[in-house]
Amino acid sequence: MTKYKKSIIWLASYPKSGNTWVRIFLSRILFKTNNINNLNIPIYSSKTFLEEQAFIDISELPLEDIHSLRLEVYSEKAKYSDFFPIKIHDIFQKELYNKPFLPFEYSKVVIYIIRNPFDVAISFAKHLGKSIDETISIMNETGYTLSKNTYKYQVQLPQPLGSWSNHVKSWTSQSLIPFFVVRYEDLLYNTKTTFEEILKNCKIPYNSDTLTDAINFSKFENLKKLEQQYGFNEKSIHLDNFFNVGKAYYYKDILTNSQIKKIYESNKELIIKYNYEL
Amino acid sequence: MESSYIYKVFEFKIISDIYINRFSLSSTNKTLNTNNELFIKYTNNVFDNNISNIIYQDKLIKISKDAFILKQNNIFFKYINEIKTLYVNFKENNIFEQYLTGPIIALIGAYKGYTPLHSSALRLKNKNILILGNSGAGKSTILYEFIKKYSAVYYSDDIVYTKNINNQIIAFSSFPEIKLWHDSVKKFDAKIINKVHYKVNKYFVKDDNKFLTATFIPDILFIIELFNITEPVVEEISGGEKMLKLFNCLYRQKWINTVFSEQTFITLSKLSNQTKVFNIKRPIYDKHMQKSLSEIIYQKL
Repeated sequence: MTKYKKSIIWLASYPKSGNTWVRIFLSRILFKTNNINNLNIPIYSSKTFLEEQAFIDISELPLEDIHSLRLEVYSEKAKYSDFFPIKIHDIFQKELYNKPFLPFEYSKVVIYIIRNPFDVAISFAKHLGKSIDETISIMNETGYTLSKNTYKYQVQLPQPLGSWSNHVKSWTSQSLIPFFVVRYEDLLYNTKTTFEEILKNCKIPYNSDTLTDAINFSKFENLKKLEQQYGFNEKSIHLDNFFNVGKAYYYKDILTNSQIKKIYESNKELIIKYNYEL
Repeated sequence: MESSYIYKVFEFKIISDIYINRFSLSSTNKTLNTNNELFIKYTNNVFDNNISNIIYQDKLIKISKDAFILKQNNIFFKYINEIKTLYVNFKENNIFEQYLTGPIIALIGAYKGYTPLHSSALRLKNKNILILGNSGAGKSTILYEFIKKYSAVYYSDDIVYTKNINNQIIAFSSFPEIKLWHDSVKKFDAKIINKVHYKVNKYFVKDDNKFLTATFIPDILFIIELFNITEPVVEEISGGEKMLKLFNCLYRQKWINTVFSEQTFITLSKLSNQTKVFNIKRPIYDKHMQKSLSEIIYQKL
């Protein structure tokens, strides 16, 4: 008998790689959600979730105290859950502020979602409100951190991303939590099988009706329609819509040859490994 | 151990075993009713889980009409209303003070008949104004903008106690410090007293000439909510929506509303009848906004 209840399912990815899609799918199958603004799947960097659980204004605490509290809050929640999915964009680390980075003892599995870095560059540029060239540089930057500015109120805690390649490697070379890699492109072109593999790896019970229902609910066209009707709280200020393109390999019509070359050269090893060759 | 520190904050005279930074900063000279004494005592008995007739319970807290226990790995609070005593134990002082000056003081207020609102409060154009909203809604920045731009005076930055007295809802001033992030301190050239913590770029600022230690009748309420929009939307609300939004502005709503439901309902329905309430949906990022929120609110006064 294990001492800890391993209920946490980490939905890990570099930003703009399909994490929200998988999150909505899981939320539908686990919690029967019909509201994309209330998914019951928190983001590890969210201050709101921590404040709701801990009942204090955490933004007045130093980051190391917030992290201690975060470990405690997520561990407590995991103890009382059968399946506790959590979204995360941070690069994997063993430790943060001399404490474990994640509540490892309650962690069941990592679903790592990867998307070809060429499409990521376009989508991430729109999300950040920066040019594609600036974004490609960010994707190569080893020390890049989202929500880094500590001089003003931030909705999210700082999220170190590292470079795109380091991000992928960090999660897929760690040995503390079993992991399963899902390609965004497989979710698009081999939807049913890929989502079934996710459920099997998470040991989430399902049948053909619940699977079909969750796939249909999380279809791009449906999410786009729901966003038009009700909005989506996680949309970046720089975007008109969060659910924007929903396609793969559309970079070929947008990126210049030199941009493609730059991304390729910086991430060649993983581009080959995950069959993203040109 | 003999009690050594005396503080006067909120409506309490606090007699404490331990030194509390935040109370030391905020203490006033006001005269207080002895019913509102609160003793804070350090205890090593953190395994004392006894509390009967529990009305609300979750993994953090147990609350009855007479007492509550809030417990995490490194924090322990036990309050017994009959003896006006709060027993505490903690390892990390920052987290301890954060609980004490927020949810704990709000909850103890509820035992004394106050209904705590998550709100700042100010006086301008002969009107007492409450600006309500959750953490990050911008209450403090709006408050400070009113002080600087419109010479408003203020009663509170973050929590306002309210109480039904002679069929009217009265509100009470609280801490004189306003907590501002570095960007707002720069923007308003605010006079800093202290950092909230030496590693956090948020500051206590204070303007003694503008702070009022007083009770007051709220005239008009603005409830601020964050949305993923580019321009704010302001509308006066009424009926069920007004009550529902007010309930959401209770400080630690789940606890207060469950355990003190009757007192809360009476206070909020009277407050709802007594005042105009506007709902302001504001953008999460305000750098593209045409007008500041203080200007928008000012136009409604």
